[in-house]
Amino acid sequence: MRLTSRATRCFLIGATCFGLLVAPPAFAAGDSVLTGTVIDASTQKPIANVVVTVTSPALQGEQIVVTDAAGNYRVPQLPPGEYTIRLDGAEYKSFARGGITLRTGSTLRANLQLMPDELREEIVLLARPPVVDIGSTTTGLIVDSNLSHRLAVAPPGGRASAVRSFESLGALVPGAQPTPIGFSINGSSAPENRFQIDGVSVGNAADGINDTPLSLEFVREVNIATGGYMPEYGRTTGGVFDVVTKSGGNEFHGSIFGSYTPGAFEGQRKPVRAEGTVVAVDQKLRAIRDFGFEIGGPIKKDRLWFYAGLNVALQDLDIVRSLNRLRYETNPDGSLKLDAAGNPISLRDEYGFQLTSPIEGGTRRYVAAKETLQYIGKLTWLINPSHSLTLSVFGSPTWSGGDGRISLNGVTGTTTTINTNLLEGEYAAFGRQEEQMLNTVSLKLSSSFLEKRLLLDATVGYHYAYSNRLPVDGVGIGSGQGLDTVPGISWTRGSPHTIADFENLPAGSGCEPKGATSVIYCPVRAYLTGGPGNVNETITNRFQGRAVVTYLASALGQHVIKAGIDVEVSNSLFARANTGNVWFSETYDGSAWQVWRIGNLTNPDDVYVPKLQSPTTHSTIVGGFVQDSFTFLDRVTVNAGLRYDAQMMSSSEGVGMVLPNQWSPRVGAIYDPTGQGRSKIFASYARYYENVPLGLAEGLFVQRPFTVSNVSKSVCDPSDPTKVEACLDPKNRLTIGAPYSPNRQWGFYYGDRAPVDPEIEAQSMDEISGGGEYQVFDDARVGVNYTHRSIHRVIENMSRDEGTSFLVGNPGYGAASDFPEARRDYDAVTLFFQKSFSGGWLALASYTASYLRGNYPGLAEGSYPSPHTLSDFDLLSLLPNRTGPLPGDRRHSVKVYGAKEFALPKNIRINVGMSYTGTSGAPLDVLGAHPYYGRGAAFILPRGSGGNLPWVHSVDSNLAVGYKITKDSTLSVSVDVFNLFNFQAETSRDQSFTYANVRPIEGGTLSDLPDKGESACATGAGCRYKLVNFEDGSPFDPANRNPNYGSPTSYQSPRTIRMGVRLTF
Amino acid sequence: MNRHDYFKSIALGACALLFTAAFGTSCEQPPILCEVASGAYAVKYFPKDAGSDCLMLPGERVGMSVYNPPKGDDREIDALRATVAIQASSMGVLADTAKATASATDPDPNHKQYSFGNYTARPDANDFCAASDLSVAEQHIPETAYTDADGNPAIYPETRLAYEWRDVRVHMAFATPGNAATGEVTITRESEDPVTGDRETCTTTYVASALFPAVGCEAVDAMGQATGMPDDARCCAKADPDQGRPFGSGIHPDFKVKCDPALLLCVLDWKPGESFPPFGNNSFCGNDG
Repeated sequence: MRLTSRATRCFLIGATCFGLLVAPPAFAAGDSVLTGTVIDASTQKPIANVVVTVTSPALQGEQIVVTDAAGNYRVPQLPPGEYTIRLDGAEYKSFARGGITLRTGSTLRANLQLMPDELREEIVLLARPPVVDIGSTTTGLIVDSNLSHRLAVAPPGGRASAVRSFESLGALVPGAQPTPIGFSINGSSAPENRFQIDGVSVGNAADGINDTPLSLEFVREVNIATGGYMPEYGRTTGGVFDVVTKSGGNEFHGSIFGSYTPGAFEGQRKPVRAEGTVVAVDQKLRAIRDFGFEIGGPIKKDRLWFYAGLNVALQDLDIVRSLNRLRYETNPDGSLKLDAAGNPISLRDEYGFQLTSPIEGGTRRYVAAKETLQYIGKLTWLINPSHSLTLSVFGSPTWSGGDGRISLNGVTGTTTTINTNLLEGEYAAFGRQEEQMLNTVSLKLSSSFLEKRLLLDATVGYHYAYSNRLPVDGVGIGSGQGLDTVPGISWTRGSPHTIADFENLPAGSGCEPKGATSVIYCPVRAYLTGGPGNVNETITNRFQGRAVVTYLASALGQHVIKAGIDVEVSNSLFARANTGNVWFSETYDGSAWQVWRIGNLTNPDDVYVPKLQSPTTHSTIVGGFVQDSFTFLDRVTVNAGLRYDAQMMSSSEGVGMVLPNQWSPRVGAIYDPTGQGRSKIFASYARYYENVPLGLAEGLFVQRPFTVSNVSKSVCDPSDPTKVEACLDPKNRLTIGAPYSPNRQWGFYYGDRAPVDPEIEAQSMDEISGGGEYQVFDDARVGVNYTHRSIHRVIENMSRDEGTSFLVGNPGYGAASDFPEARRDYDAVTLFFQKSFSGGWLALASYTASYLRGNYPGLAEGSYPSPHTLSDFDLLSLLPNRTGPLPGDRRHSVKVYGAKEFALPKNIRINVGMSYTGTSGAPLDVLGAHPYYGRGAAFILPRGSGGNLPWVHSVDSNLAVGYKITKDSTLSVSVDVFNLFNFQAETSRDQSFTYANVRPIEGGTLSDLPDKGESACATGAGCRYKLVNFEDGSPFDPANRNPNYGSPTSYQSPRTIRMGVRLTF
Repeated sequence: MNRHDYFKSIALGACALLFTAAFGTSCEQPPILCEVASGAYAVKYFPKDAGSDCLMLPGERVGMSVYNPPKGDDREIDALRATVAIQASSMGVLADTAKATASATDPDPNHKQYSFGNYTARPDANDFCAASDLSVAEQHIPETAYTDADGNPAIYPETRLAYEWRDVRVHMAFATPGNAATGEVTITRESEDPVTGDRETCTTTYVASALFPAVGCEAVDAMGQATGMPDDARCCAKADPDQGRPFGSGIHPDFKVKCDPALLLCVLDWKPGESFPPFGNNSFCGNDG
């Protein structure tokens, strides 16, 4: 990292000051609190010096505190679990209260009463277990992973669904909407979320989506916070997924499990209309299965516990690659119909799609396969009652492709990543072997001093993420072996090849024969032969360390004061190369080869090609916080805190960005009218700052140059290994550079580095929330809350000169003042009812009405992460009509879950779970083409003017039959059915009104567009419709309307059935 | 991963910790790197000595290219060491024409079509990146006999063209990175007078201004026919579809520009002696510059 003396001076100035660093606290396993007041049942007065003993199977040993003068007790740093509180007071009857469920990261208030020894009257003790977390204003949901045994969660085909990732529990949370790359929480995009497992952040450092889809089998609880959280949680403008893994206990417990989702049981899919092509691809689920075990127990009772687990998950798709012949209009006598220019006319359906006839015998079958092996190992050590240490190691290596198989996209892992163009070639050319290694280590220390009035929680963590795309024989990049030495070739001449040039076709195919130059029936435009060409490797490291100090004080009430510091250093290396160090593509006229080399020019017309091109990017984040949680009158809690963050990002090429001054205030107030932890009314305000993913540095702070030269086909034949040398001989390079270019034989391409506006500020968001909850009966609560979120400043790359030069800044501020400010406003009201499992049933129901609008969707562009490099703010000419309902807007969202357990004779239990989710449809845009940015880049009408998609409903069910073999072990068999009624609602539509370049109609409506079949206006004067062509403003010709506009392009996933077996002991 | 960089990361982290302690006093952004534009600059020539211009060259397209060596472990580019080459369009045209017409080339391998020299890594305090130690670009085509298109014998006359660039400075600010440059060039041309056959040598020194991108600004009449007259409005940065300008020119809105009548290219509205580069609004573009 090369910061100049100016920046170094800043650091030195800072160094002279004392360092009380405040940082966001990591959230770790033992962070829940039991607190309350003990009073005399007869006099209703508080009792001091009562010994409070807290025990739980989740807790090593027991925790003992003593009530103070006001009768208050507080037991912190507890892991989630079922607790028993025992009270022993002099002259009082001992009292024990069990069945208290403590959730991760919660503060539970249990006010208890003791009966005096000598009392003879019977007093009924009112001590129902409380369920309302009266210590926080956080909205969201805390989900026990056992919920996955009672409800159908983690639908197959979703993100990382083969491993049944914890992330799928996000579906239950009000305010969360599924997207291909994760859940959008309260209007924020999926990459803005923060993921923590055992206190270590496991988001992908480059783009922010979840890196470690840890199986639900290894997880104890997930705390999904959707808003209102304290400064302890920082660096996120979305939601927080805080995961607590299981731990061992004083007895050996565990389970062996397996599940199987056969493709044969998949419901009938509604086919999507699409353009007919010569190479067509169809995919179908073959099977998803996983099996594994997990076990925990004591190494030394009450002192040292272990937990370990292993899970293998396999995902297979059947891929059918078929060949087709394109069809053309014919005259009655069978000859081809020709247009005015003498060209044949494609035969198209009413939606404008090319029609084809299949070629018999031209089918190839492949399997797309992916294997994941997840592991976890954990040690929990109680050093003494005041100090405990937890070490956990977990990871999720994945392999895909190779050996004749097709690879699946590693991160998204969805079943829809295969497209037609991918299979137009030889297997060695289009196939890849992909690997991902994700490993995390976390070490946490929890200490207490001064009789638990001073606490220290410190966590150190390391998250390693590696991924690659290698040739199908698995040889390493730059290894010089196997396919790594074979260059890739792309046959891209303008006049397409016939597929017979590359493949042996069955007789009667009707395709032009090998060597044909005028090809209409079986054209292939970018056929791939030779080796894979582009291969790459990415390594990302995240080192994290944090410490939080908590101090309890009494002054006009109780104060829980916390201060913490947090440091994170991450870096990423992205290496790429071409196999054989060169890649070939045919020139447009077919007379020469373009010779591509990944390398840069070191002198005029002199290219240096390294074995690997691998720039690195770095990010350092430092932060801290101070907060006070002040409770008085037993009913009112005021939370106030301030957080500070600073981020520095740079690249190995010596360019970077500094984002200091991220001051983030949080204020909240909670009022408990019952005074017994059974209700609350709360309000909070917070400002959140966003952690810029390394992807911004990878996109904008490094060049990735590659160079191209042209060599005539008369001397160069890349498909013949003996002739490749001639293709690289400098004597054979043609002159392609312009007369003013110092490089006459080499063209070069690279992403330009974008400089940073000196006045840039970090991206941030403001949130106001409020609401209330009430415990209606045992374990059940009902509530309402309102959330408002507004983006404050956004970091984006922009150009003020039509793409000549880009800069990184805040739209609407500083150098980018002539861009509109980024806006994203979200308002939502949620009503919910939640009953945790007790008395044989559970229920969770919520309804959320929300409205998301603005001009900034977030860190994702459609289904791909795009950190701060959206095209929305690129050019001034792209800006019109960008404000309106955003793609994540869902006006209504209903989520209802319920499960009931029936106990039958002979130790048999049956669980029936049902869920219903209904969500209103996304808004649709009306798009046209832009001359530079292509199709779909121009908003003809304001965002969201195209109406809405229909509602999407899904009914899922779970049926589990369990047989209790012994007191501790159960064998159960389950069937989860997702989308029980096989609803096939449209989930996306073609939004391109036309593929022609047109000018946006600012503030226009649908009536400003020509109707289907309307005749063209000759001139603009008196024209009914307002749509005009981009170049000259002439009226748009309605014949250029996209015939497929408004047609569905995808449907809801069909019904799938997952069968599972589990032995718990 | 490079261990060296890892320790630097930690060192930076430690610095950052201390920096944070200073109550977040704002630190400036790290400085940018010197770059050049990846295409042709529109270069306008001003004779250095008024009245001493035998070449009568109003300007031309000139291209620049920056080169970086690989770093120690050669997987990355060493962006802090850079060299630069400058090539004038006339030089490439001469070489291409001689080759195409008469298969004639400069036999001296040391003669290059471009000037080559060192380039600073980061801009100086005035936001300029300087090229230094620039070599002379030269092409000396010998007299060559050839057969012309009609099959008649012809002679390609001996021609020499040399460009000597000096004091080349590229303006490099975060807002306008590498889009404007200035410098001085001494151009020498030796050729044969086509009428008399006499050899003549002409040397002129020009002060040059360069603007990227090179945008044509010839006025177009109502029928779409070029008129040969300059149209300043075609140099405006902001698109104005109603004025027949569906795109902006691609030139940065901060520069003062005009359409040069001799080149019919947009050039910086600047004369030697004025402050460089010329910033300001262009009145003919309306209030948007």
